[in-house]
Amino acid sequence: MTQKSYKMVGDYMNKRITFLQCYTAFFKISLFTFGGGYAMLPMVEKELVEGKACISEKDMLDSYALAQTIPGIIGANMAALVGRKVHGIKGAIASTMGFISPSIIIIMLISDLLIQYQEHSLVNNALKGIKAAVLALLIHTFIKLVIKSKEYIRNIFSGLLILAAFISVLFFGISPIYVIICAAFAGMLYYKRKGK
Amino acid sequence: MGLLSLIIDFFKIGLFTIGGGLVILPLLQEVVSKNGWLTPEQFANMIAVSQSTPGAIGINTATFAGYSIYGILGGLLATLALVLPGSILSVIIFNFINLYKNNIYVKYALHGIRAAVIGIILVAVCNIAKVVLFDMKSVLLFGAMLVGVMKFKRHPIVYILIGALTGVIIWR
Repeated sequence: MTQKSYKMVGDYMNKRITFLQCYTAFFKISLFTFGGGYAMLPMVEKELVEGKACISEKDMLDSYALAQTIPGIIGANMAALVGRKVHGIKGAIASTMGFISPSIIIIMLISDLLIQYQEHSLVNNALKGIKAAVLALLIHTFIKLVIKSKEYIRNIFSGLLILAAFISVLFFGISPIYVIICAAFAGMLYYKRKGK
Repeated sequence: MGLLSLIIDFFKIGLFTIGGGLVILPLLQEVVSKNGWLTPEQFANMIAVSQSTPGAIGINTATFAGYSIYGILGGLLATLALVLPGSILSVIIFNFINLYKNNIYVKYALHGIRAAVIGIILVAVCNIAKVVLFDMKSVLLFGAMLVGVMKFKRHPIVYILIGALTGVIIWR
C-alpha cells in the first residue's frame, strides 16, 4: 500500500517540459535516428530520461511497447505518447512535429543530391559506421533498461515472458504487436492468481 | 483534387501500417502504382534515400513520395496525413491508460508488457547485429564503439558522428 502511494507521488513528480522543449527534443532524436524505431531508444534515453529527466526508464519502455501496437510509424507514435505525457495534447503535437521535421527538411533539401550519389561509396560507408555505433548504443541502452527494470523482471514469470517474446519474434517471425497483446493478458492472469 | 487524394491515401497508409517501418513499403507501392505517381525507378530511389537519411524510414518515404508528386506542399501534406491516425490513436490510448493507471488489471498488463518488450528489443539488437557485423573491420569498429559507449557515456550523437567518420575512413 505504501509502495503504491509512493508510486503515485512519483507520477505526479514527473517534470513537465515546455512545448518548445518537446519540439526540439524530438527534432534532435529524429535527426540522429538511423534505422527503425528501436534506433531512437538511446537518443530518447539520453535526452528525456537522463537529460531533462521528464520521463522514467519505465515510461520509455511502456511507450515503446504501446507505440508498436498502435497503427502508424512507431517513432511518431512514441513521440505522441511521450509528448502527451510531458506536456498534454499540445506536447503530443509538438513532439510529433519535432519528430517529422528533420525528415521533411532533409528529404526536400538533399534527396535529389542523394539520388545522384547513391552509388557513391562515401554515403554507404558512413552508414556502415553509423550502424556499428547504433548497435553499440543500443546494447548499452538495453543493459541499462534491464538493470533499471530489475524489480519487474526478477521473477520467473517475467523471465519466461522475455524468453518467449524473444523466441517468438526472432525465430517464428511473429509480429511484436501480438506478442505485446499476449503479454498483457498473461500479466493480468498471472498476477491476478498470484495476488489472491 | 489530386492533393486531396494524396492526403486520403497517406492517411489510409498510416492507419494500416501496423508494426511500423518497412510494413509501409508494400502499402505505399500499391498506392503509388495505382495512381501512377512514381515510376519503379523512382520508387527504388525513394527506398535508398529513405534508408540513408536520418529519421524514421516510414516518414522519410512519405515525405519523398509526396515531394516527388506535388512538390513541397505534397511532401508536407503526405507526411502529416501519414502520422495523423497514429498520433490521434496514441493520445486516445494514452488517456485511456492514464485514466485507469491505478486499475489493478492495467498494472498487471503493463507488468507483462514490460517483460515482453525487453525480449522484443533484444530481437532488434540481434537483427541489427546480423546486418552490421559483416566483416572483420565492422566487428572491430563495433567493439571499439561498445567500449567507448560503456566507458565514456557521452551523448549518442558523438558516437554516431564518430561512426560515420570512421566508416568513411576504414572502408575507403
